[in-house]
Amino acid sequence: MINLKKRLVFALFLIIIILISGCKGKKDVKKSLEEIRTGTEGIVLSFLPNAPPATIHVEKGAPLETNTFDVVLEIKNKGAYPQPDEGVGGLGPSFGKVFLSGYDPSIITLESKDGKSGDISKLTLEGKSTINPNGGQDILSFNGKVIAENLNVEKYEPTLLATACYYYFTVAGPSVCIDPNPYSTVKEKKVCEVQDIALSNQGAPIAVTKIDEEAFATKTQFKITIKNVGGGDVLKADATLNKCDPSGTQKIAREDIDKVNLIWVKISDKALMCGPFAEGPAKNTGGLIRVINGEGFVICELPSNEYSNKISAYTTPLLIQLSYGYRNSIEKKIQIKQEISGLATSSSEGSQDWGAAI
Amino acid sequence: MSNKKFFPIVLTLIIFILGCSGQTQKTKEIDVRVGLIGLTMEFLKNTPPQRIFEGDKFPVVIKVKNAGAADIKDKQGVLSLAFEKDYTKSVELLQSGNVQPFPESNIKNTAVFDLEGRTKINQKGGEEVISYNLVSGRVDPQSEFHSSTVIATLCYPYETILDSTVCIDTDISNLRPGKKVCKLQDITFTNGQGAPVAITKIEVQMLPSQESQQSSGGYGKIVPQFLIFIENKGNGLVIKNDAVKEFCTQGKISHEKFNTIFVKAYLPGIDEKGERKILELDCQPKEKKDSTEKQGYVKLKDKKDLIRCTLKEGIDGKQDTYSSPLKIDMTYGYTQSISANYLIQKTAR
Repeated sequence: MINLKKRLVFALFLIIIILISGCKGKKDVKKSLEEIRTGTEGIVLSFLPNAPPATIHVEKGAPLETNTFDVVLEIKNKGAYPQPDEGVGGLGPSFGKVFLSGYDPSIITLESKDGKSGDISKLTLEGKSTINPNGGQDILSFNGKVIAENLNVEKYEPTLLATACYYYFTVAGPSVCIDPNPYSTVKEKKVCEVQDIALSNQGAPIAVTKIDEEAFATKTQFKITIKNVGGGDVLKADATLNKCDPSGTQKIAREDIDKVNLIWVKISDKALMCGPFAEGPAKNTGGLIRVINGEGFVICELPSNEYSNKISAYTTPLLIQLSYGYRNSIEKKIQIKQEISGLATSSSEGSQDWGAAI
Repeated sequence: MSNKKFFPIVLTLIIFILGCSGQTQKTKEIDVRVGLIGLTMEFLKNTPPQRIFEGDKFPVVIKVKNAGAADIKDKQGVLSLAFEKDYTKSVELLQSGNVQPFPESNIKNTAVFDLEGRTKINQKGGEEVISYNLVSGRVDPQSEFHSSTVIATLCYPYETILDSTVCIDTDISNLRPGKKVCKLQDITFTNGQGAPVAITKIEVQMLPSQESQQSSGGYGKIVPQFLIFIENKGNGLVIKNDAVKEFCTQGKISHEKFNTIFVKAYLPGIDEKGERKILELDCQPKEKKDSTEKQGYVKLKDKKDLIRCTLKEGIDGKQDTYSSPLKIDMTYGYTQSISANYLIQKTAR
């Protein structure tokens, strides 16, 4: 009798657990575009485990194909650019490149395995979208060869630096309040109030973080603050591919960094006049914004004649589009150990022999 | 009853838990090029005996150990035994596999030997026992005993090899924005390189090459320069490596042969033909080694000195900063001595 009671209690307990877990509501898998445009990263690199290995053993005199290792990079697009409608599998013809450096080229050679030479334009790296909320990811493989004949030590510890240089876009579209009568003395109900807006991030390494709005009698002014939130370097877009190559003839200089291109700021399809810009005319619909200590700003104006036909305050999206080059890198320390074949230590014959023997 | 039921379950659980806490043991990396000693030697216990009688044959046995990382090959190690000739009738070296008498037949107190240094396989280094049999002479007629001394002097060529990774910073003035894989900094070595003469510090400098500045798009070439600080950390004396046998057999050498160490340094780079290979650095000052070759050397003062080595070919300034292996090879001779006292007692006549 007692046993039966216990069994009943256990069965009841089990049913309750099943019911509780069954009740947990399923979230909608599909995310809205606003949810997609979050995050502070763009292209993110990581070395696959054991590629390159932490220790590489090489032997002098062995065939070159034996003293090899693989470097495999996992590349993820954690940002929101490009969207499916923005070009090829979202990517433009020269989206970006990955470069490997930090090693002595006399000792290590690294070649792209699939002939892509580090080009990430052909990879499936579409940005986060409603269809693909995680963003694209792909791998890039390099074949490393150690020229043991040029290795003059028993242990060489270089740091492998993988640098991604790519073009990216930031798109922000917060709603702003346009008040045609900011100094109105008549008390009337307005649907919105002119005020500053704080934004978080837009699924890109450069984020629009703040919009300070000021309504004047003749214009409405927006001070748009942008911030480098991706942890890398922001580059002038045209410097990205030409100057990123560690062995290239051109190098990134001070004037190539910390500049973001403002493509436009639009309200109702009307491009606003903005400024100041780091290069070219001080005021224009677009130009280069200088970023100092990771932060920059531009002031855009909407003349009052654009909304003078409106009677009362209204909200409208302020569309901001920025383009830039971005560079971020990861590193991994590796150890190349030279193995001496045979049990005996080698004897020195001429200056190129490194044995400890006298 | 219930206790009996639970016992096997508890036991199984304990076994599982114990089994789970597995330890992974990492293989310890062996670096033989550590330490400040080359060869060491000691008299075996009771050799020579503390007290002997006139005309006695007695053993003097010396244990020589190679605690450094270089090998002594081609019978280049020399052990010379010095004693009071007036109180020693004869000396005889007992030959063994690696120990041979000095090739010149009239020198009977000197042995030559080979001795392997420390390797990954033989981490303790080679050991050799060198035995002599001495016959004591007569004590002065007016004395009942005579206190005598035997001195063992070891002379050997040795080598200090240093492998290090140095930073080749092609952006000397830090004008290129971005991450560098390494920083230009001095490297200090406190533990030695498995030899009595040690490199204690390397100051790394990157010098801009003025000549090539205009020729290659403004980047020019960077000339890596290394200031290598060298110190005799052992208890012995440094001699020139070609004076090893001379010092142990003749006992006197000219003062120029003291404290001289030859230095060679290597760094990978591109030679004048455009080939990537290991290049020898230009070390200053230089001494004429033979009719054609000149070699960088240091002359120790107060047991230390420094040498400046540069890669004359330079490094292309367009390249990004990278780390490169630097090898330094120093050759020299080394000598050290130990002594032991014994008493020769008069016998009844």
